[in-house]
Amino acid sequence: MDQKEVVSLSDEKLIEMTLSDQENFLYLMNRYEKRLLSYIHRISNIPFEEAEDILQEVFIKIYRNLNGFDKNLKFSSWAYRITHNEVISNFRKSKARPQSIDWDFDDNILNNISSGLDISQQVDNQYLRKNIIEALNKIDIKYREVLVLKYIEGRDYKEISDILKKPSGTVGTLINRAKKKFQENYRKN
Amino acid sequence: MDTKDFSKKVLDTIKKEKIKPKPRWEFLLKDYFVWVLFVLSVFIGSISVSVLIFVIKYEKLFRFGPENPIKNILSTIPYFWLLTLLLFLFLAYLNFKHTKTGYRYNILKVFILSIVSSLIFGSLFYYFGISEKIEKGAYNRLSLYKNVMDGRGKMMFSPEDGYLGGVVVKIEETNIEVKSFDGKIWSVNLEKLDIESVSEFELYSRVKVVGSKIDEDVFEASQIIPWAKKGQRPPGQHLNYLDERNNHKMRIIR
Repeated sequence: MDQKEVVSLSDEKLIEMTLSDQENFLYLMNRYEKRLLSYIHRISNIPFEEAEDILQEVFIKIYRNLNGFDKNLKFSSWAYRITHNEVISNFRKSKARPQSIDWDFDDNILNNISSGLDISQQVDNQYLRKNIIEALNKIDIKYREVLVLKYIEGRDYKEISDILKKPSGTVGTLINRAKKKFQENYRKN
Repeated sequence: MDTKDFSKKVLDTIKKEKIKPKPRWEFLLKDYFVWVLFVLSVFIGSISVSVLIFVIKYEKLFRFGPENPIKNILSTIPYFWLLTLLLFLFLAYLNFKHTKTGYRYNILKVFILSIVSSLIFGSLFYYFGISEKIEKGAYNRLSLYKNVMDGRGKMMFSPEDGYLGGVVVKIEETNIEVKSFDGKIWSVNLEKLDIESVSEFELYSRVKVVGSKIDEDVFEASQIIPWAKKGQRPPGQHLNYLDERNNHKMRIIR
């Protein structure tokens, strides 16, 4: 199948195709590999090889549980949920905690973060990026992951609720607390 | 590693380890199982509510006086059924949270749903008389419950502490005779009682008498509370009403 055809297919269609032919799982993986790898990096500071190991486990879990995928969810939310759980599980096994994360986001994301987290943009982007990164690195993972999902991944409350398996109200509360923590750290910098 | 290489590597691992998607029925079974557990938890919670209503109504809580009202209230709350209710409310909550969309509801809403369901069904079970059968069954089959209820009974029937329980076997103007559940006949003086309350019970009805022990078999009543409607059995006590009538010479004095 050529690239144009694959791009036009929905995630649900690719799942259906995978269930009839294992080889079609390549298309799903190609579609989500970069995104999920970035997500793993953004909520943790795992070395690249370890991140790939986690991602491999994620894809294997996705494959194993394809028949359990709830069609009322977005596939991306489900995939992010499995990734989130795998990262947390990895933390518990290795008892490792990130010291600082090597963030990479473009100016669009930078603007999104600045406006979403009520930060003045009257400084140059390089300075802004550095301070944002330092502030993000200092907050707890449970706050960092909601900020990442909301302002970097651009997820809405319902998607974040589906990813983290928490009520929307709780997500809202977490985001508010995360913003406060972030702003405290940002001001200290 | 290039995207295509990585994906290929994962697919090769899947093939090498012969990993297959789990069958759909496994997921359906898990979903149904969790819902069944939730419904079962609510059902048992409802049973607890129905028996709570039965026991509380039967024992007419909060009517005991006079010296230690708080102590009386605390000692007559049916803790066994209350704890059972709380346990199964908690289990209902846990099971609900494990359903597919259970995570979308906050803890308060889930508890309220469970409590309201238990109250509604519990009230229905009570209305249809199921609670009495369950209470009797629990008394006969669960030694723990039997011990708890017998302990409560002993508290009830403690003339030394001012509580007497039994069957009215004789009624006179200022005095009645009560046969307590251990078979002893007590003469109960009614002079300090609100005389209108005498008409609330009748010969051979079960009563609870609150007051004080005057002598070995003499009791002075400050309150007399009918135990239940005629024919109903008090919790923990499964005596045959008809036996009481047959075993006594009937003598009604007014």
